[in-house]
Amino acid sequence: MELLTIKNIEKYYGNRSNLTKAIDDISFNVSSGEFVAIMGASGSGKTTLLNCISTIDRVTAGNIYFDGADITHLKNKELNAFRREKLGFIFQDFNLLDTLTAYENISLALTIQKRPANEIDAAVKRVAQQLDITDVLQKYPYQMSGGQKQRVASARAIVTEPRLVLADEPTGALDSKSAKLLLERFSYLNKDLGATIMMVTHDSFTASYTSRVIFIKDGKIFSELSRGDNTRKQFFDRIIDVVTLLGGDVSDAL
Amino acid sequence: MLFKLSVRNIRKSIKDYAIYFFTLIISVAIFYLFSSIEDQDAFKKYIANDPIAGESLRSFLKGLSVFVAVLLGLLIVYANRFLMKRRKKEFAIYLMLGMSKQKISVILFFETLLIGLGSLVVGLFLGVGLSQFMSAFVANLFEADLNAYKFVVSYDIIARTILYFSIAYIVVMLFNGIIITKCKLITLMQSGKKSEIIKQKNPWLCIIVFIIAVSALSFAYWNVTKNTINLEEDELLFCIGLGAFSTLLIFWSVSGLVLRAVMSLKRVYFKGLNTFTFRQISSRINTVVISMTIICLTLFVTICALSSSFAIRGALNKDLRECCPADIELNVANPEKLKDRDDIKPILEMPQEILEESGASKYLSRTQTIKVYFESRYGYIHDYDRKNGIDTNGFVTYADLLGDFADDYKNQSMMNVEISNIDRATPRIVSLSDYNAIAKLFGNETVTMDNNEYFIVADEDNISDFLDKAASADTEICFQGNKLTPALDKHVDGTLELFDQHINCGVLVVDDSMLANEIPVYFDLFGYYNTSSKDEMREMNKQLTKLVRDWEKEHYPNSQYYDERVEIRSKIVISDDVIGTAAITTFIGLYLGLIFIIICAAVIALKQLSECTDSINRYEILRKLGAEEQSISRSLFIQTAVFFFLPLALAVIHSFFGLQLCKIIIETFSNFSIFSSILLTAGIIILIYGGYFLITFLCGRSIIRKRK
Repeated sequence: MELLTIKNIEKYYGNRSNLTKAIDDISFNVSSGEFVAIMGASGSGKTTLLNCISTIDRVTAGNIYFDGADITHLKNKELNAFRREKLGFIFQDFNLLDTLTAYENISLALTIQKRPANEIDAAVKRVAQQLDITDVLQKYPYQMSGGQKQRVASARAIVTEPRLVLADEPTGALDSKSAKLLLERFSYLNKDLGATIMMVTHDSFTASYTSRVIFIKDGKIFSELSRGDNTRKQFFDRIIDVVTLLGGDVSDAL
Repeated sequence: MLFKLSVRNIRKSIKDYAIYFFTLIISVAIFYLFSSIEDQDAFKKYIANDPIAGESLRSFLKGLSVFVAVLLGLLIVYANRFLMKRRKKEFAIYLMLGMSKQKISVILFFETLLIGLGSLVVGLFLGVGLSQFMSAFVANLFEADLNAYKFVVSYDIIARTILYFSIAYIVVMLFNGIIITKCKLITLMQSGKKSEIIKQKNPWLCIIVFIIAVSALSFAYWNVTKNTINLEEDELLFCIGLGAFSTLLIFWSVSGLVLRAVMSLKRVYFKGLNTFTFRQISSRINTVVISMTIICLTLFVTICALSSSFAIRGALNKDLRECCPADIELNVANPEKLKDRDDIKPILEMPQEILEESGASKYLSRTQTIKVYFESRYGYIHDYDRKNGIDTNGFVTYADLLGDFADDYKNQSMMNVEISNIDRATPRIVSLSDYNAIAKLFGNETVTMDNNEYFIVADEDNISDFLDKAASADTEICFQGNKLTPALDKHVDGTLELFDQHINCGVLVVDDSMLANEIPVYFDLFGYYNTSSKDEMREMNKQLTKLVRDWEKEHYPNSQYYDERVEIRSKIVISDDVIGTAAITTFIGLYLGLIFIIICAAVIALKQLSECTDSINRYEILRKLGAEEQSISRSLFIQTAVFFFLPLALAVIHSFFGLQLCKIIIETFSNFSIFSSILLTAGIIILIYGGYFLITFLCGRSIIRKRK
């Protein structure tokens, strides 16, 4: 079932004399239960794409359908509600509140949705178990490692059971061991719990954990790879091939 | 180039620094406003009436303005620190680009110069504008006529304002220079990225400390309200110190306590942004315990001082209307009574005759002279008489008037300055016909009674209560061998003497027949001037006094005491004096009160805003999580409100008890109700403090919304 349908979207910055096409006619679909990576070099438009999907930014042209409904024309209040109820976010720099404990950081996502207080405890403990952070729940962010912080942030993103989890360079600030641990959790969330995850990255290793990779170059879709029956290693090699073709910055980021 | 950068910086950030500008402008304006009192007409007139006291008052006000200037200077330096903190990133960029620290200092120098000039100009304009209203207010304080209104600009005061604030700005410049030369690039770059380390307090310790603080405070409250009678001065100081210390402990413990309590209430804690709001407050309250305590205590002192100063003014003015029933009183000792005393040469004329002979009677209309007997309120004449073998047995003392309640009166706490010893002090006695004549003159009701009855005229609250008790108990007194009973069941409210307070402890009125064989101690004339204008009255009073003194000099050239022989009391002199005292009290109370409130509010505002700047990221995260702008605003509102109104709330509780003490002190010399002055104080505080609160909230909101 199609969860997200992106149809001929464009995003322009600047004015008539100096126009930058950040996104230039992109279309693709994401099905429910998919784990998709968007790859591209710096400035390729992948973060703009993510911002448009998450409704933080508005598209210049084209439509984005979420669950069949067009979200490009939502009003401010509806946008907030949409973001709050349908989406979960994971950021490169964690974005945890440093005055709150891990538990409270996770619960905040629920209380913002005005969930009743008695549901909260069970929900927080459940996601904590899924992401293996039960023993750091009472700690503050400054007492945790980067990997733990990102898993807390992930727990916060999925605790509301969003239809789609958007992750912007989630492994960008992590060492390779923590990154691997986090990605394995993502796979678990995707395969065992059926979460739909869309992740922006320029790291081929990170992308190899997903089921599909969409490559973007200069605002356009350059190529698309599906994992199919490949092992992660095989998929990784295929990604590397495309990245080599893409050339430029991405190869430096390997 | 650097100058251009400074100008652009200021223009860019004028909205961000609203609170800084606001504080500077208000400081300048208020400083000018209150300093300019020296050039107000009403004040000049007051000074002219009493040049010696006026001069000392003038120098006192100058000292006060220096004190206020120092306070405001400290506030400006503090506010500047807030500005500097917000700009660390900007400085980091300058340094990264290779700008030298000296150049940054020059930029800051220009900025301070421009901000200083700007705030001085705006503040002075505002001050000059407001001082026109102030002149009406001062005229009202001094109860002067406002017909000679003119636009006053005091160039002296402007110069003084510029001088003092220039000094403050120079200190700010030096301070900025020091900060810049001392700072390291790496700390500047990383500023704002540092995550907070949260220290949790032990909740049990919090509870214990809180209980100790509350009980210590209750003890102090009890001491100053219910136990005032037994309170020694150093005990009072101890109570004040105890109160201050408990305030500190309460602020220290309350955050941990409330957080714990709310955390256990899961329904409240896990609702909307409450988790965030409470954590935000409790993480900050630890760092502001001391400043909150100081602010709370300052507010407390301000509330008490403001209320009391208004109350004293009200009391003095109200008393005046009742305490001076006539315009003038002329008092002449009876020569016959004093003929045995060689230290006093008696004047042989009656007051009315003196007025006529001296030619002063033309100023007066409606005069009435009465004879006063047995005056010895202080016990002096009594002692003198006894020493000289004069029989004092027939004298009625205050103890006699109080009858069975004399001991009760002695045992209560209120000291009375007028009659130090009720066993020896004797009340003045006047005859019924004299009293009725005076009552008619004053426009009071006359009294009729039998010739074996008496009544008492008094207006001092404390003794009046006991006199009433004695009267209702039908206390019999023995006068010259005759037994007299009370004609009324309470005292008659009033006085037979011009004074500035209610201190008439009792004048005994008996039937004329009782005094037939007595010799009066002195003759007392009451009268009214032929005018109702205050200025004319002042002039007439001057003339009349001069004529009477000239007459004395002419008739009794050898008397070294002639100044005291004919005692002249006039309402206008008393009232000028009282109004002056009242006006100065109110003025100083209001001035310092306003300054302290502004300082407190500004300090909280700056702290709150710098906190907002530090928390921009947190609000950004909330927004990303999908929190609605409305709930974020509400969270900020709660945080701002807590930091503004927590110290105020405790200060109000303090004041509630503190004012009880003030009330006792004020009511000792007046029966004026302090309630209306508390309302006025509350109004002023709400206006300024509330204004600061609102501005802080709005500025804070625009800070956290900025990055959108």
